[in-house]
Amino acid sequence: MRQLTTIAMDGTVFAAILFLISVGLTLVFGVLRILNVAHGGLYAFGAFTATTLAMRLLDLGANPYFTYLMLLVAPVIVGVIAGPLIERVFLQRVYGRAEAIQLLLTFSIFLILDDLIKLIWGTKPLFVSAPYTLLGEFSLSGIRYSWYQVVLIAVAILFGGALVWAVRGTRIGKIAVSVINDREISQAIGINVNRVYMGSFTLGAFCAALGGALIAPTIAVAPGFAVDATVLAFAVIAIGGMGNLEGAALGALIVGLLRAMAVHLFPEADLVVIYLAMIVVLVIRPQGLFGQVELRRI
Amino acid sequence: MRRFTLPLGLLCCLLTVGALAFILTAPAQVASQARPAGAPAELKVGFVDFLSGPAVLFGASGKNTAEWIVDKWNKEGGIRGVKVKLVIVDEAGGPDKQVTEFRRLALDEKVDTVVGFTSSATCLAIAPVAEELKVLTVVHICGTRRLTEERPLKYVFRTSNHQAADSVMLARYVLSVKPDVKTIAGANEDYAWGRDSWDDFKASMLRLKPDVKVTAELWTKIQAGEYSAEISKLLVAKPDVVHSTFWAAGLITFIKQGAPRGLFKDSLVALSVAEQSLQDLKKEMPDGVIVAPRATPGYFLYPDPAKNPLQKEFVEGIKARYGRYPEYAYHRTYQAFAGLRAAYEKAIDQGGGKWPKTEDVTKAFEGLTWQTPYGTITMRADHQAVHGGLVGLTKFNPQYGFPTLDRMATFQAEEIMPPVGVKSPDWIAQLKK
Amino acid sequence: MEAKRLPLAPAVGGAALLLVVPFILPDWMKFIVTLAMAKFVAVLAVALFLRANLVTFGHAMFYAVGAYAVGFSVKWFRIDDMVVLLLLGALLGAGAAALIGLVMARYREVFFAMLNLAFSMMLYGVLLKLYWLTGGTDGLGVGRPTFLGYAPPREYLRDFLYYTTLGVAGIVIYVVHRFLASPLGFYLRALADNEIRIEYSGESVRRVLYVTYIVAGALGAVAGVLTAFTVGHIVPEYSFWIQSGDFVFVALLGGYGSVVGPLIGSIAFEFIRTYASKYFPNEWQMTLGIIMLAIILFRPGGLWAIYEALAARVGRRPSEGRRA
Repeated sequence: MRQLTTIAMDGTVFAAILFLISVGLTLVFGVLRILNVAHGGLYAFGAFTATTLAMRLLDLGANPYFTYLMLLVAPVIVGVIAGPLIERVFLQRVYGRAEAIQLLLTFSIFLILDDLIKLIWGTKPLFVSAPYTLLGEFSLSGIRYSWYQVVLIAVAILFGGALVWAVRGTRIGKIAVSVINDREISQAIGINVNRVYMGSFTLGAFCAALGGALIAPTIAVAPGFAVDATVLAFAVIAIGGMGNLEGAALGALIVGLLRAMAVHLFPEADLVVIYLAMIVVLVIRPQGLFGQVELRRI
Repeated sequence: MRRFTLPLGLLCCLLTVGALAFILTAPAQVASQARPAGAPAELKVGFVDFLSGPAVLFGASGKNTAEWIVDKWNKEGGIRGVKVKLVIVDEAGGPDKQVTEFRRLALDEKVDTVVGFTSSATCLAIAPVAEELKVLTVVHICGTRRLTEERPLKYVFRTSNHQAADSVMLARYVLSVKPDVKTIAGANEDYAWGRDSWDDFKASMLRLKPDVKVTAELWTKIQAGEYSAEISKLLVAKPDVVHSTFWAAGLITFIKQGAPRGLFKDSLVALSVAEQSLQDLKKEMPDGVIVAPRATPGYFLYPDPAKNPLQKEFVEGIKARYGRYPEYAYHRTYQAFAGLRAAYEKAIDQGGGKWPKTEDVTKAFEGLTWQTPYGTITMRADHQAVHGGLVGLTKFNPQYGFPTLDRMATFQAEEIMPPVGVKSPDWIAQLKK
Repeated sequence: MEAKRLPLAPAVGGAALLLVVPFILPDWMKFIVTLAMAKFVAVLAVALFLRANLVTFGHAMFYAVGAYAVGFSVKWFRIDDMVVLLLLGALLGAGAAALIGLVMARYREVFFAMLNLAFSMMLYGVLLKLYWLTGGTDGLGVGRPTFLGYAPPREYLRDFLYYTTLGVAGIVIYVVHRFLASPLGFYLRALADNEIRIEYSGESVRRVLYVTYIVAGALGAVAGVLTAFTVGHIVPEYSFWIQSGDFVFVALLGGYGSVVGPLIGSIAFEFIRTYASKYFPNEWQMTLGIIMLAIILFRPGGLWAIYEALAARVGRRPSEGRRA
């Protein structure tokens, strides 16, 4: 029984982390139909920015509770700067080109971002603990967890919910859905598609950076940690259905629980369980669990 | 009268100038007299370590030490008058890149010797190339026992203990501070380093105390960065002792995530590479954790710098130049360079004062004992050097702002390294208390 | 649209140049060119997919299959013959591709890239975990190859490897050229345009992709065999997705529209990598990224397109329309 609750808790915590890492990626794919390989780089930027802002704040002697503010400020900075910059300067030039080219463009941006981090922050690992430890711990079935982990779960649920509401319920969301379904007609009825694309990409960048910022207090950030996150994000959205928010949540939950089960029951499988899940899902249902089948245009 | 004073004045001036000239040029004369016959203009040493990627923590330490020690030598006149030039190369990129770089160092830069290599994969890949190109190669950190245990080496030397020593040393220390240990668990990264280290620790523990039970063996991705599930598992299993070889950012994350949840209170955790990160962890590192600078015979506070001039020079020099106290990667780099120099000097002496060929240096290196800040090291005939190891428990030190080692224990080389010709697993199976 | 003739002038010129490289370039550069030619074979496979507007982030798995075929053969069966292992590697690569291709031929676009990535990362994980078999991250040493039973003396080993690799590269170029000139090759290019029209004309798209996948798998494995012997040490990272990304980058750099372009790209890449990491150890990834961006934005045809444009200016041959 205790093992069950522990696996459930660990799985959900990891799922929350995965969701926060991947939701931006699936959003960008949903609107722009581009797999943004640079997503991992934006995630890393968010984590580094949040960490250094929080560290600075603590050095200046401010109240540690303000570090939570930094976790929200950092992704805004990253999203607002990187989003429009990448979209307008680079991405825009490859809309309509072969998909291979689009993928390679985002891949090259990823390489640049990765080294940019080294140039800006150096190579030593950086970390800040205040946001993580400030809230204290609690006991579940005799095992101690940090309240911050619960915060992550709550934020993931709330944020995911907010995004879904924004897409389904607001005017902007409906406009975005219209653009997703048919770009030309949307343009024909007067929607500024370019603006929608830029906004969506910026939101995606913000989400990526937000994921990084929220996770930063639990880890030590060092150059190169984006590479792993990138592959994880790919796997999660491939499983859940690319372009689908609920899919990202489900994919995150599946991978999170699988990994928790692996760690507690079959530690040897930890390395391969995520790729196995990806292969199994893609082979049975190529578009992912909630993905839509692509219509071929003649 | 003027006719005689002018020459006298001139003579005095000339004498003074001449004396000054003699004094000022004397050291150069002395140096050039000591310069071995046939010596090159400079000794080119290639240094290969990680300048990028997660292992940059090792590479930065290595590069810092290399530059500091070479600058020091050059200021003092070089190795018997021959200045040393460093050519620094990044170890990142995998074997095909590293083999290319090694060939470039040897054939294009024409270095006389190559020092370095932290990654086990790299050092195993370049060893055959070093042998093929006949380049003296001094491996400073790479830990795989396979480098020196699997095939005979002619041009490759390793100047520090390999990874079996870390595990055996930790096992011995665990038993000395917690002789009633009943359960152990491992949390290591799933690659050769983690696997070999855990296997050796487990085997040593089981050999030295056969009734010990293993309650969990956890494997993570290299530098996984997310360990909550593993920590939960350890909290559930509640082993007496946890063994881990996590390093750099992964280690810091593990401690960050584990300490608040009580992992370090529930279990005695033994970390073989953690000494490197103590200065970064500062208050994050709990007290009472077993920490070692791998199996290295000292750290920046032991032997006491106040009583040991070589240690004092090293610690103060590194701190002054880089703002950090030297940790084990610094020291192992020092070991390598010091050994290289000692080998060259012995070869020069053995050759009657002329500059040695590579084969003379390799011959001189075998059986050589040389001095380092932490004590002496001896190079064995199988090209594996052995030395002792230090381990202790962390205790926050307000003077430094980070934990230093308490209840230290030192182990002799024979206690933690297998003898020549015996493979580590076989030796561990026969380990004596 | 007529089949492109193998660009004779540059091909012959290039071949002649490569033939004399061991005599004019220093030893370590010869090594780089050998490595570049070995990897080019895998790049060519990736280029085939790129022509069909398919990106694969997993081709490294076949590369690893070839490399580890050598590793295991040397370690357990004491087979170290280059020719035998090239054939064995090609067979194993084709076999693995035949299996995976059954699944893979149903996918397009981003899913093709992702599923290939998943398979290659699975292989990476397996190679890493079964470390008592594969040596794990420590890797396997593969020793020196023999050539149809002949073991060249040490001084000439590098030259033997060089010419063997050159020969294999030449054969591969010819084979792929013939493939592209065949109906299947045309259909492959048509995949990028309109699959339904292919089916209208009576050919099965699945079959086209499947056969291409098998050919690509064999090529990837051959590259792995050549690289394994050239470098002498293989590691699980041979199957990592970044390795696949490197192949794609080189295909783009050289120009995947031609069969010779990737070879130029591969040689250029190896030299760029060597010098970039020598002068900018912390920025060479960025250098690669910037180069890739520049090519995508300004010259998507890659180095080959630059050459063709120059040649057109000189008036020797008309430059053909390049499809990006």
